[in-house]
Amino acid sequence: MRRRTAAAEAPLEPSLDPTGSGEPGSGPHDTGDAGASAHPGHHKSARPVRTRPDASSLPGDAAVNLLSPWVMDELRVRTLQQRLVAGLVILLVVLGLGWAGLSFALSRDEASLRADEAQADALQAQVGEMAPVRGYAAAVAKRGRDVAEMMAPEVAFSRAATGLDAALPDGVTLESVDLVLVLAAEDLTADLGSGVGSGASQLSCPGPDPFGARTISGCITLTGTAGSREQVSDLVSTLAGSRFFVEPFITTTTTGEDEVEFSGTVGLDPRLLRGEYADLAAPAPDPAATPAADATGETP
Amino acid sequence: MNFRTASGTLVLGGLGLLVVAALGWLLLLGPVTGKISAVGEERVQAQDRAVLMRSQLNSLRLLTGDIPDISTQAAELDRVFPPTADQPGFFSAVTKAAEDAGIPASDITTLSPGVPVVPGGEPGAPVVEGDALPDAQLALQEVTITAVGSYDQLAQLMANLEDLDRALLVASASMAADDEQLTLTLVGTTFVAAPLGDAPEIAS
Repeated sequence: MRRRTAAAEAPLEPSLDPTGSGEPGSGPHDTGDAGASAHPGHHKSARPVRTRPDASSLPGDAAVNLLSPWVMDELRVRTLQQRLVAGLVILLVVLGLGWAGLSFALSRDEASLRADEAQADALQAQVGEMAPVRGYAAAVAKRGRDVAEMMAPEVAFSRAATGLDAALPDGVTLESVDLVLVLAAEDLTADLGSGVGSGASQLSCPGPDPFGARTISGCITLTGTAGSREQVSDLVSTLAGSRFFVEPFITTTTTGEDEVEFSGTVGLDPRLLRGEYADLAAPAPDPAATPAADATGETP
Repeated sequence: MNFRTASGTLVLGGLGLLVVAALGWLLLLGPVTGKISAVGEERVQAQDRAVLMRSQLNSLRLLTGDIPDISTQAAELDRVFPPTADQPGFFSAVTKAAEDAGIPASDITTLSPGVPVVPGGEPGAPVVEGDALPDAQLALQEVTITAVGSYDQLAQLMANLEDLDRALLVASASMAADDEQLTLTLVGTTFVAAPLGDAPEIAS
């Protein structure tokens, strides 16, 4: 009824926008208000309007949307559905492309992983083949350290005996000489887990200075006779001045008919340590195990 | 809310797209990225292992080049700490040391090598010559030597014993006057060690 009336009032052309895009000028006549009202997407009401030519309009330029609001809604819904389907397709394509790309990267990384593992396995196999070399070298090195450690306290007793003989003043005769190491082999093996000699302690050698005991490598206990106590004192002085002996100490002097019997001790200087096997402590010989040179650079 | 209205279509469609995107991440992209991350970590581990193996291999190659020197050292160590008590060899060496010092063999009045004992081993289980040593790899053999001679001869004997091929650690030496001569009593230790064996042969 309204449509007919409108058509009767003016030769209006229907302004239909099936796409619902509402683009200006999409209708046959874009005439300002009339055109805007013909685009339901831009207004809350989608009612068809009747346009009236304004002053600038030409006769016959008005348009009216003849579609019902329900049809317009249906068109909008259909458009939305089409867009959603398009978005879904795009999303699926993106997901598919992403999955394909990541799968390609994964396969590439897995191939690289296999190559890296193969290389590591090959190197490990070579290391395994050469393991006996390492075991042999380690065994030799350990034996060297054992030998160096066991023989570290070895003292050149022959040099001590020679030095002691050279230090005797005229008129002094030795009756007995006992040389003892500070540490015996049994003591050294205590740390091998054996317990042998575990109760042993380092030998002590009596000395004249209770506040400044010096390090010794051995101890000599000697007895002898001298013509007088002055000769015994000379012996003590001579031993104290020797580079092989430290801290001579006379424990007893007994006068006899024409001689003085004496007994005492004297320590052996660490320079008498032979250190012959120190270089066997491969691969890194312990510098502390080597014989130390004296102040003049002279070694025993 | 349904698909017949624009707002319902927009909301439901948007939610649907979000669900699809979430499912796509959870079911497709997420697992693959997780695998890529795991593979990357495994690669790093494999590369680290390869670097370590390469380093060890280089060390072993250098060590292999030192095998001749190590073998020489092993032979020297076997000489110093022989694999058996080798009593004949020890008797011969001590006798020669005495004779070189001017002391006749008859003046070596005592030469008593004890039974090699493994430190920490059973007291009643001495090492018999030729037997394999237990894990300790080292046995001690106490030796007592008594000789008669002059002071100089005995001092020279001590010097000769210090220079024996076989290691002899003298723990004590006592010299006492006995009539015209001195008597030297040495108490020391020799060592018996498990043989080191020959160097392994590595194919180049």
